[in-house]
Amino acid sequence: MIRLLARWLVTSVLLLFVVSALTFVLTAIAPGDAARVILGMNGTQEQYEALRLQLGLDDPLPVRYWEWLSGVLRGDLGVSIYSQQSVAEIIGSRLGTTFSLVFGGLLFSAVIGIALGIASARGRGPLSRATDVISLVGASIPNFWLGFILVSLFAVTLPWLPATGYVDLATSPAEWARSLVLPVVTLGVGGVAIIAKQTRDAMSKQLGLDYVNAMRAQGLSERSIVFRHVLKNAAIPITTVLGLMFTGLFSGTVLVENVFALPGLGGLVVQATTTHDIPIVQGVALVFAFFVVVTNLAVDLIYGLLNPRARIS
Amino acid sequence: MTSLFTPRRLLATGAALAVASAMLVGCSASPASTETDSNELTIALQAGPASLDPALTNQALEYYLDLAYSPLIIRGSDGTLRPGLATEWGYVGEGNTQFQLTIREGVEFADGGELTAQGVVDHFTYVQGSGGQTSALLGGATFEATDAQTVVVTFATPVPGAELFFTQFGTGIADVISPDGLADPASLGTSTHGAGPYILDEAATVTNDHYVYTPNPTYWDAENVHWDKVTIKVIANQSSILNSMKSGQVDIASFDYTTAADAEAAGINTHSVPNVFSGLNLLDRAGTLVPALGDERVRQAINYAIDRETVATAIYGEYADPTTQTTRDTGFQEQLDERYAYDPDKARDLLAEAGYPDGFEFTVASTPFFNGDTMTQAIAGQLAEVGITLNMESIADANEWSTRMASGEFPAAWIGFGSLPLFVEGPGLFLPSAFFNAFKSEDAELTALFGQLVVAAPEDVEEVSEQLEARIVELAWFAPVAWTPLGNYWTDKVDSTEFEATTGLSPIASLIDIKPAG
Repeated sequence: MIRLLARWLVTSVLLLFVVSALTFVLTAIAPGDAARVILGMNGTQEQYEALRLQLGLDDPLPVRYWEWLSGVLRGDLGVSIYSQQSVAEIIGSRLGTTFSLVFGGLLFSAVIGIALGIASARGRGPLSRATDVISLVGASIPNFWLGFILVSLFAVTLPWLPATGYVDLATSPAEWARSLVLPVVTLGVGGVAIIAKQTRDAMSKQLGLDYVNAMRAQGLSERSIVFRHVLKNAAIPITTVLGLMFTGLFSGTVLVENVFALPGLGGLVVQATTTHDIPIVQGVALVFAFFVVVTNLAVDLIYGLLNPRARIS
Repeated sequence: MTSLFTPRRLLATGAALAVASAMLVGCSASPASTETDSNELTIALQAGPASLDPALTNQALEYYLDLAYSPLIIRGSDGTLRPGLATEWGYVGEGNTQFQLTIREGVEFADGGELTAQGVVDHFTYVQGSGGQTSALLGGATFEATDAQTVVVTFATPVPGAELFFTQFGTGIADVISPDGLADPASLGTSTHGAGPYILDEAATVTNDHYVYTPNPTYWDAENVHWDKVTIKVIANQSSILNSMKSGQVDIASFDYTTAADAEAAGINTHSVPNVFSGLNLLDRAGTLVPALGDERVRQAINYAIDRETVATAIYGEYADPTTQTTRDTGFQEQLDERYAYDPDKARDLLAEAGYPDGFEFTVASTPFFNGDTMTQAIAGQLAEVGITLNMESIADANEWSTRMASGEFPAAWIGFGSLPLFVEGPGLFLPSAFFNAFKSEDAELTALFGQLVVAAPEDVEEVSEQLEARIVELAWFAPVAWTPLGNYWTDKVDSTEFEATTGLSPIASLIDIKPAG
């Protein structure tokens, strides 16, 4: 366990460093800068150059990166170029939305997808083919399109749920949940398809193995065989997919947040990128990268729980 | 060991999700629960302000400031001016260089400070040094509080119509910041320090998601506070805005011609006015990158080759007016719109005369923003008919597009430019120092006419403006195609008067004047 954690720590630090350096360079070399955004189209070249100097945009790239990195090492993510608001505060105010969306989407995908996959693996041909079709359709539907269809049905035609907006959990748990129903379904539908197919394949493989026949011969109930033994053995590839999906859902939030006007990190990073607010872009990239490494660790730990041999290796 | 996946757990989780969804839907079955309260106003805008500091806020996002900062002069929806924090204003002497404002007595800022002439001078000084969009309008100016209630602004060069700078149009200049705010500029980005009808409720606001304003108990014009609460929601997606209006979550939004028919069909009120000219900016007027564009006849040929009526109708339907001009303000002339009536044969003749009988090729920097790409593609199709090949380079990020357009990298660019009085338009559009004049082109006659305009007596402004606009059209530095619309959507909860009062010269409804219906 200690070796696993040490390896994770070293890899994580390296990954975070590489991600932050790459993000910084890519954002800095993109045409345009914050000085131009602030000045708009009225400013003269002289005013533009003076403002660049004032904002420190003329400093060499390595100097600017080091300034930012040394701040991070002291626990300071810096401030927004425009509002002077702390980047940590800005990210903190949006983390809850993105987390609610991602965890909700993952839960929705996992529960529906695993249930569908099990049913398909245990069923005969038509159900299995139906899962394939559902998977294909689910994976093919662009989530922003699905979002608009859901809004049109459940917010406009049937005015049951809000079309846009987010309510904080602390403000009203019921309104928080209402504001998330449509975005979570929109985000999670693609995942349902993937998980259902993965579950069905893994379960079908396990159901064909000798130990299953042996258990049947011993008189164990089908329910016990499927849910206590087969599903547990099939869980490793499903966990891998869930881990990958979890990190993938973060990028999926960008479009879903746009359709439902949710104040999450996806929208924040899009806006910060277009206005060249580098401290915010850096901060969000760092947070996303951090969740990727934490998810990888969690997946490794779950492997160990599910399969003792993985723990030993 | 207990399995993580017992059927009971799966079923329980699935059932919990289903029940929770049903309860949520059930508890919200009343449409009223998704609608805004009767005396609360919710506005949707597609972009949020990067900063709430009046000196740094983009002029296009003035609504975020209009609620909390009272301008020196209030510009009504129909463009008429009335006293705000200034009770009187006007030029001192002749020459349009000195402008005097009489400051209202007894005004208290929402954060407790008092409005004084010296405070206004300090505010102007702060804006001038901020580097923000409106700071350029005060370039080289000096300010003086000549007594407790009087401020005199002395411009470095003559500025006719300076009162416009002190209205909502001049966001940073007009929206006077309190002494406390000026003492702590870092706080201006996320809080408001004005003397307007509302105060930003910071606790209820989430930056770039929604901004909540509540009435300012010390507002100097308390009778004209019309709402108990105003919320501005940032909704980037236009379809999402329309859905929010249909479901009753939003009361006011900007007009968008792509969704206008859908909005009208849903019973939402719409009003638009033609205000932004969309077309080509033929930047390389000396022929540095593309020699053909250095010839006035070639630029005129481009103008003749465009069937404006067809292009405008194809893209904007009924919501745009074809034009060859750059302003709808003083200087606009109906007959000038016929200067380049569609005539592809004339275009071919001019090209041949200039030595390009087989046409030529040039690249246009375009952007999807404000439908620039669609317009550029439509123009490309028209120019191809006379042998000119227009290669469009689409730049997705509008900031990148503007930076590269202004850098001299491209011989031409798509342009969308809102109608302004020519004295304001010049420094931004066609003078050698203008942002949209990437090659610093200069025409002696044009510059001379602009010089006459800025010192012109009021009775001479129209004549000089018309000569100036005629010269711009004659030079064919631009190939405007159509006036494209600005305007609003609003629901029946809101009174229509202010929206319907807007015109092509005054396209923005005065937010503080908008009242509940009935």
